[in-house]
Amino acid sequence: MTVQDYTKGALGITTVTLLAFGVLALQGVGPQSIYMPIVIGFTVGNAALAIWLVYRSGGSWQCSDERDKAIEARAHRNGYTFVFAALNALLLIVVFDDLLEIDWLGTPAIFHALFLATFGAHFIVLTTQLYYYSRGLE
Amino acid sequence: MATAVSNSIRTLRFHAEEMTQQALAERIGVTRQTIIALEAAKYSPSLELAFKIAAVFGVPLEEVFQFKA
Repeated sequence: MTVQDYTKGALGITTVTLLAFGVLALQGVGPQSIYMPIVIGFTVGNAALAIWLVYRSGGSWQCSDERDKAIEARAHRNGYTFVFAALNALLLIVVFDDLLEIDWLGTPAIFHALFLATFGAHFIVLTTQLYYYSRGLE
Repeated sequence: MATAVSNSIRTLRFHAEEMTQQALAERIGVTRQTIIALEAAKYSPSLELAFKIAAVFGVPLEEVFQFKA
């Protein structure tokens, strides 16, 4: 099992999580819903997959070298850029809460936005990681 | 997306008794995927890795890597 294989698996789980969460968010389902543990379950599944793979490889990635690290670093930079942009946008929305006439802090919307920001960042990390593996890293 | 650094690793492997990508990877401590990326000019190695590759083939660095300005 290579790092790319793990990335593809994690990307699949993240995509399903985002889709499931997106559907629930559009329906206005809040964090108190019984459906939310299912979505959170995907999150735990993602972490469990990573732990299992690390355990299977004897505590560390057997195939990890400087290229893997360079790609991981670049992908994480993309993810951080996304999450900071998303959080800044969210702050602005909350600041202009009254202007938009939406009660962000009083509804599940803030939870949805935060969840999508963090999972969106993870999705971008995994996607760009696969992109750099296939297209190369300058 | 090719890098500005090209290389002659494939040719040098051929002249080194047709050394396999896996054998080269093991000697310099990287994965075979990295050798594949290097040969396809999809990855520019670190200076340390470049020197290791040159040392394996026993040639100067500029004989392995060329920079296209």
